[in-house]
Amino acid sequence: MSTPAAPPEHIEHAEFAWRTLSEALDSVPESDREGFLLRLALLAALDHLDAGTLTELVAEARTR
Amino acid sequence: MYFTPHRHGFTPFASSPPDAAPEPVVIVGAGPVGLALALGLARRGVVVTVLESGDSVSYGSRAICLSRHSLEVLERLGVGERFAERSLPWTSGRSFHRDTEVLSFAMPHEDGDVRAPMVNISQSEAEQILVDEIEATDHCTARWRCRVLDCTERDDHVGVRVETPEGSRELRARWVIAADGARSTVRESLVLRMSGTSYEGRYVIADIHWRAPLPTERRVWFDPPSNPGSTIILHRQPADIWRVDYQLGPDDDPEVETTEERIRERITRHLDWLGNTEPWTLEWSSLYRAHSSSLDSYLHGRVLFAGDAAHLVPIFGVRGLNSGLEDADTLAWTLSSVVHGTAGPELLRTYAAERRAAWRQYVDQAEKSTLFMTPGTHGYAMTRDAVLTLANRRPVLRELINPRQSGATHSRTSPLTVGATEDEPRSLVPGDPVPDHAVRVAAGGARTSGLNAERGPDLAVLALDSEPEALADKVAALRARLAPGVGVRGLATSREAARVHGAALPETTLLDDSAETLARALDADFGEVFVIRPAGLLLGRFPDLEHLGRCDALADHVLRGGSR
Repeated sequence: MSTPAAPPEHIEHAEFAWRTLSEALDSVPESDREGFLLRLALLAALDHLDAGTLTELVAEARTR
Repeated sequence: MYFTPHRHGFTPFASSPPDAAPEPVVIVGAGPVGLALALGLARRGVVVTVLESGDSVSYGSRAICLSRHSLEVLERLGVGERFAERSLPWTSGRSFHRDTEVLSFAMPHEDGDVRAPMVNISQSEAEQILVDEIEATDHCTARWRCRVLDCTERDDHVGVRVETPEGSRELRARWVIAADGARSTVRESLVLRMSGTSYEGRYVIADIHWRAPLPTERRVWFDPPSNPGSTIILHRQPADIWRVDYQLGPDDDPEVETTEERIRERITRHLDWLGNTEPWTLEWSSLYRAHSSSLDSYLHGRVLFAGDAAHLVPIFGVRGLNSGLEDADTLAWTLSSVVHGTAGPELLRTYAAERRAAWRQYVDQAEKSTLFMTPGTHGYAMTRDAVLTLANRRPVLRELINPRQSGATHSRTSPLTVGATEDEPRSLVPGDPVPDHAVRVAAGGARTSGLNAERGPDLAVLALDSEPEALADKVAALRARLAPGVGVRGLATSREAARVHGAALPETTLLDDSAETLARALDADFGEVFVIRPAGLLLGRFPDLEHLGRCDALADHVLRGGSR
């Protein structure tokens, strides 16, 4: 919990992800938000995640 | 005891005689920016009148956080000690999501720093310190209960119509400064409009008197169990006063939510949730909405704009008053040079351009904080919730929660700034604010001081390990051209303590840097020369005194707002 000291490029990527996802969510119809997020997660899984990583991330995202 | 402002009576005065010379400077608004500017001008020998519609300083804490840079400005105005006595320094903060801590941050604070990165003091107290100083200062008059009705541009002056308890008056002024806040009458009378962005989300802000055991740090709760869906910010002020800011929901009625009963109810819920057993009293409250907007230019004929009259920045990151004090600091030396006749009006165009660019820097810094603190759309609200939930598992996300507190702006692209003379990248480049740093003054009995205090409100030539005699000649030549609008000081450092202790030169202050701490803090080579503008920005850095060139040319460059 100490003062964050992430590398600048990681911070820039986090900011980019935050703003891009925020604005993308705002750009889709309210009725399609869930569908949009699912399509996005599916694309990310197919292109960038193996089975083990996807399973771990699903478990992590369940925790609120 | 909560601060109670002193009431000032109206002091009768006549309209400006039509056959007399106009007053040099009239400042509209006795807020912190107008008062700081008045002091900065008066210190440089400019006769200045401040017109204020009210009969006292403002009531309520309002802008409570002063940055380290603002404290440097106030020190140069001669009120640094009083601010230090009456403010509360702080360096760190914590943020919580519901009941879980998700961020702990510390603002930069290093060995050699003269003061804390931030202090808290109510705006009322800050204004009162400045008013008290003005009352003890020559050349400067504050006129209370004088409401400016409008301003009219004439050939060689501005006509200012003023409503007073004894009827209307018209003042004639060479220069008028609009420092009359977000709802500027001067701006309105000149039919000027600010443009920019207004953010969704409103915050109730309140001062409470509360003897709390909590430490002096900024605390923020997102979606706290005490007030689900809201965001609550807590800041300690001196004398057991606490500032509480909390966000209203989109469906909350501001009229209902700003009733005393409702504010008490909301704050009680939160303090009870914190485990509070101490009684507390509500002292003041207001409603706030974030804006990022600005005039296109801060110079219109003979009228200049400063502070909230010129630009607005969101409250998050505490940039409002801190940016206004930068305006006042820059305008004081530029306008003083114009009034004294050492510079032409073109120098004021540089003020206007630099400060407009500074507003842009502030907005760029503030935008992310504002989107996080008051997400105006479903998308930003959803992602903020996700960021807060994941922050302890993905530490990089804590950077998005970090409030990015105000830092001083730079003027790297200003025409006044002399470009870097070396290819090697430095941590301090021309146009940057020069950080204050502890120094040892060698001559006249060694004593500890700060770089900011030693250069004072003047243009400073700081030579590291150079010949003090050669520096003294340069200083004298620059002073001959720049004074009285701008004073000039020479500061020479030496690593040779024996020589330093034996030296005595009238034009320079000798600093003992035998430990080389100042050189390291400035990322400087020995022999290097730093020219520091009166408002603390680095005008240029030069390999040695020879590279400074002719002092006449450097003085012309400064007085023309950049022509070198």
